Amino acid sequence: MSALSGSLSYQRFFVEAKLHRDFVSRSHEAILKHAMRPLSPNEPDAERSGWCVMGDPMDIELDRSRLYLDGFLNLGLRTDRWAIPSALFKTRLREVEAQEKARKERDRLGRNEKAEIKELVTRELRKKLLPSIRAVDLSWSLEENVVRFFTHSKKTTDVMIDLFQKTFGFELVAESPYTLGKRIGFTDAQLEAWEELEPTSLFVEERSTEGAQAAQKKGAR
Amino acid sequence: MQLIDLIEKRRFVGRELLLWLWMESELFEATLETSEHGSFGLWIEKKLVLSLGEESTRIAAPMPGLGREAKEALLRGQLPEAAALRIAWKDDETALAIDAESFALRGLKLRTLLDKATADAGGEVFGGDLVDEMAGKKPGRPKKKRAVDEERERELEEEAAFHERMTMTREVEDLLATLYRDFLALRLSRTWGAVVVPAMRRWAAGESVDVDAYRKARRSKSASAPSKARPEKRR
Repeated sequence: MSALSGSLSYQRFFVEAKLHRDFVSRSHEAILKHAMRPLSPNEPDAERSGWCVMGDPMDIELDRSRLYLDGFLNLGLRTDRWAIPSALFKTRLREVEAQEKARKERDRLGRNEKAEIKELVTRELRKKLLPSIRAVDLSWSLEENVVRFFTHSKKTTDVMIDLFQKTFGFELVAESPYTLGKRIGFTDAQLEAWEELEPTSLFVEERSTEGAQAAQKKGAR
Repeated sequence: MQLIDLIEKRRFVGRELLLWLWMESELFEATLETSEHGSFGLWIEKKLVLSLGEESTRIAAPMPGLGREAKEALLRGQLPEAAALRIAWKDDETALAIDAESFALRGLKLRTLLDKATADAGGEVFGGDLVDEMAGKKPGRPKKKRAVDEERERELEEEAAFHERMTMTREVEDLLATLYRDFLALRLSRTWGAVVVPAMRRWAAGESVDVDAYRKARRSKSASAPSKARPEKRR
């Protein structure tokens, strides 16, 4: 999901706050605190997200010169995830459980023993694999206070909104017909009209099917 | 009304924006205008999704809005949920898809000046020692220094490309916001119910619409008057 090449797919968010005079130095420290920390096989976390350089997921040093660009703060949201193939995991789990049963000369293993083996196998396989790495570009136009986030994935967006709030202390407001209208500038009368709006429908009775009629009733507000 | 309701319960306005653009694009032969941008081409192409509740109609065609299938969906009460647009403006063309309720953009294609420069050069940029040698040039700088310079040069090119892409993106966003402003002026006025909706009904039913009368009516002074007369104050 790139801001740097190809076609652009993104959502817009707004920061409804005035930026502090020393925003650059303050925000850079905060970004470093929430920089991506790669997963380690010995840690329990199966997934982790943090900031990286836009377009370069492996750069988690986050040098200031690579982030701030003439009125823009550019970042990548990197997410690492351990993705152990299910078949591999099950096969290895069965092997280790069989070895353990043989070693203990028993037909069955207890719940705790099974959980321990599961953890052991997870760690063992993680050491042999690399986590999957995914990065999504984010560009914050500091003059407009607009954040463009280059994905439509809800899960990734939720992670970004949470990390953004933790890093900068600002809540993001997602774009919608109301927010765009508000920025364009509603008059008092327009705002009143907005509150009383009813959906327009070109519905014509004789063309409807039973299903459409039901949907019409359901969709009516 | 609470903020959450102002946002969530009025998302249908985005669908009505797409409906309005679709109708005006057809009535005005794909030529729209704003006071800031002058006239430009805008039409729906390739994809149009309409829905109402769980019923939806997806049309993939070169001009998906022109067929009866799309108009029939309107007459069953469905409204556009997403549409792919082509905008021809400033000697250039842009394609994008827009989600009605979030105004999220997908597949925004920008033909940047830098892309054009590469294309003009034949699509590829050749270089390196062999090319220099064939051109009779002397060997270049030491490799290490050259690598650092090339890295910096690449970064500068990326920065320039980013800025150009953002500038063009903002131009497209600005055009869409201006169209939305013009739409809101109608939608939140008496003209919507008196002029626009009757025209939409005729257009959707395949009946003829008096384009000149429609254009005149929607441009009249009352077109932008809010549906309830109140002293105006910018918020």
